[in-house]
Amino acid sequence: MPTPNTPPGMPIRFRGLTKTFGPVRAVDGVDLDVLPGRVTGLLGPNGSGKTTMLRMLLGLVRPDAGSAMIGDRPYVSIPRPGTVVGASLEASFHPGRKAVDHLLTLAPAIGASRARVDEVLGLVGLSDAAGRRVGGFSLGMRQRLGLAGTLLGDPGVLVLDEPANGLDPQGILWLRDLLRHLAREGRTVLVSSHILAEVQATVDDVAVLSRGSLVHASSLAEMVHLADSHVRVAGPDMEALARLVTERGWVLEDVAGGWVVRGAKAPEVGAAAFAAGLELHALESVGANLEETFLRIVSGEVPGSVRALEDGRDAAGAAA
Amino acid sequence: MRAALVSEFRKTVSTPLWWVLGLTAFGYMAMTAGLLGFATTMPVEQGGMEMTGGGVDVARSLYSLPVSLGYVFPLVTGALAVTTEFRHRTLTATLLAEPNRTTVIASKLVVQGGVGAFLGLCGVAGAMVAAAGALVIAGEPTMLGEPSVWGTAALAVVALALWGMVGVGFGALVPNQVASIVLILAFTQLIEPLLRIGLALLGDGFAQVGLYFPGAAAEALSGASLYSSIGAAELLPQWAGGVVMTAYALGFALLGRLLTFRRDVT
Repeated sequence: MPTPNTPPGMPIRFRGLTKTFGPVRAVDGVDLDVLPGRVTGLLGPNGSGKTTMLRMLLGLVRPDAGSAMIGDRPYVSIPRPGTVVGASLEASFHPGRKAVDHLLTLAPAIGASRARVDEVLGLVGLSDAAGRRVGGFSLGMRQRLGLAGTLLGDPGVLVLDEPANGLDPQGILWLRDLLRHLAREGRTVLVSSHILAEVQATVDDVAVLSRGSLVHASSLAEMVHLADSHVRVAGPDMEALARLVTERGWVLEDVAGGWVVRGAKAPEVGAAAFAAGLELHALESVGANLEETFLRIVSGEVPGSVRALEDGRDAAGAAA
Repeated sequence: MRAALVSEFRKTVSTPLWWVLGLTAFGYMAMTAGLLGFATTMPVEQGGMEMTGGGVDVARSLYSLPVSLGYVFPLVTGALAVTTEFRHRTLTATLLAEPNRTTVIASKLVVQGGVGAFLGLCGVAGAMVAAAGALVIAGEPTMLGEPSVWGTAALAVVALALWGMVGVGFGALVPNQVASIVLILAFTQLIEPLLRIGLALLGDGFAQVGLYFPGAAAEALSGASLYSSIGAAELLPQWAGGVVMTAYALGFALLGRLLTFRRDVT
């Protein structure tokens, strides 16, 4: 539930966003809406244009064409942007500066107090390291410090580039809980990653970039449907089962040590076998391999579908 | 702008560089001014370098020695304030906090002007303590009762404040840290001194050009010069020295804003 004093999340809108670096079209006409109340994963392999897209969103890189807006204005025209948007693009810090001092250099622009600095350090689990120089920090600790900086202004919009990079599995779980909590409060959370598995349990929506183009955008649930699921079957009369599968237009494949039916869900296969009076000894839905689907979308083997993310909105989105 | 200034100030004082350089400036200036202090009391025939002009001018030259030999401290510190942002890739966070890039450079100019004044204070303090001590030991007057001596010392601090701002401007123009520092050291330690002496030897017309070098302008501002004390050059009027220094600082900063800081931060 949104708390009364939670700042409003605002939609992030990319329209025809394009950027060319030399001969490389880094971002190519991307249209995308990122909605409040949800965690959106911006996915794609290294070099697919994720970071460039985020840098254009934050006014660090000038687009060749198109626009990127937060609410109804570009980042650079937001007064005190740190109170509206918390952004962390790279875990880069001056190595000689203490963690607490790093946050204190960010605090004036946000109007954050010393107490708030200590509070966010606690929130990301760095209270004990507050007085240590960042030069001795692990990548995971740097990620936490970067995240602490984004939370300083209690912003309604969070933009995080590869926040899970360098976190241990425990840290990834912690990040998931934090981001989901922030989205539940009605905030807009946009995270990029080149590994779907890192954010799979975190995101509500996915946007997939490949070579600068948006090749897929949907809720995660819809992307799961795209995933190539299959049904493992076994029975005494596999020849009859094969005929049945062919009749129905499905495919029976002999895979290592067993048979799988592709193109159907387990209840359909079970019902068909029952109707045909065929005995089954095994009927098991083998979970979709989302990562593989993601990679196949990226490589163009499986056509993704780009649709407005509004379609996937649920009660959480409406609450914002 | 206020927030950007506070942020820049905190950046400066949250790494050890400022006080390490403050101590170094104090120690280096004390050592050099102490040695020169003794040397000025020795006749040339005995290996000394008895200076022209008499007591007050000698004292002013000694006490404002940081303007001639210590300005590299604020200059490098000012440049580092910009180049470290590129080297450690903290510019991204800086620009996220303050997207107006002109404000970022302006706040660095102001804060590094202050740091330059602090380093100037350290250097002048070191020079005065050591040189006055040397003069006392040699039985010469320290001239500390002369208002013009204190005026020169104060202007030396102002000159080093301006050097800090010149450093920011230069760092903005040449944001690569190694290139920036190498160019600064090469120009200030080698090229400018050689050119100033060389141009002075070539005659009046050429010597005029040398007056507008930043080192000469800073010395003009403080009203005392090691080079002119040893007869190597005349100086601009004091006010003109200040104007030339300010022009270097703002000119470099403006060029840096237009050429370097307009680029994409990737």
